[in-house]
Amino acid sequence: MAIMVNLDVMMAKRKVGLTELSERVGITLANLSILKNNRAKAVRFSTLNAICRELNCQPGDILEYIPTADDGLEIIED
Amino acid sequence: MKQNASKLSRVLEIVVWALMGLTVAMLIALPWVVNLMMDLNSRSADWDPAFWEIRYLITLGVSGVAALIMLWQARTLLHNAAKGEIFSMKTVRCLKVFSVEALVTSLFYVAMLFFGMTKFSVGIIALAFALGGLIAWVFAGFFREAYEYKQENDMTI
Repeated sequence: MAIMVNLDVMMAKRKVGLTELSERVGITLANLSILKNNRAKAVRFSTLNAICRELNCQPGDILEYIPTADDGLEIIED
Repeated sequence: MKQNASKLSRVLEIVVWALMGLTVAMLIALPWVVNLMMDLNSRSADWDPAFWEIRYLITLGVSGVAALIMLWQARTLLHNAAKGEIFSMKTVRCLKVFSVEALVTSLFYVAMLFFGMTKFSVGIIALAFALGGLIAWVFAGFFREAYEYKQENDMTI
């Protein structure tokens, strides 16, 4: 999977803990942990909306696309 | 509704345990059961006891073991349903084992048709097991797909 979730970076910038964020967003700590550790298979827009609202950020601040060999792309290193 | 289904699964699990107990008892008492069947069927003049004794022993013995294996799979399935884990790989495996077992039993009954058990009922039993086995195989495919959808859904935050 080439989509990386940089939730921990944004949480550190806003100085918000995992438990506090899970309560504010309205999802369980376990699910937020799954998301933070890049084990989620999909994210609902409603969840993304709530996270961006609570962390005052854009989806691009949390989600990052890193191409891998599995994507059938040729990776050229500079 | 979910709670009612869970309660029903538990009740059915108890019923399946009882059936398994009966099957084990029948397997243990097999020699006496065969003797009883021999006594009940020894009416015609051309009755050959040795011929029928072996066939009854083999048929009932194999049927008993096959029934026990299938009942165990059914018990596992019901146990998973009662725990709320019906859409899991354990259920898919149960259904596949059940299916293979039913098909093998069906083949056994077809073979018995060629070894003296030429009654119409034996053919019907073979057909019923074959059909049951195929349906279980198809359901295993459905449950596998349901499991994959559930996995996807569980990992959607």
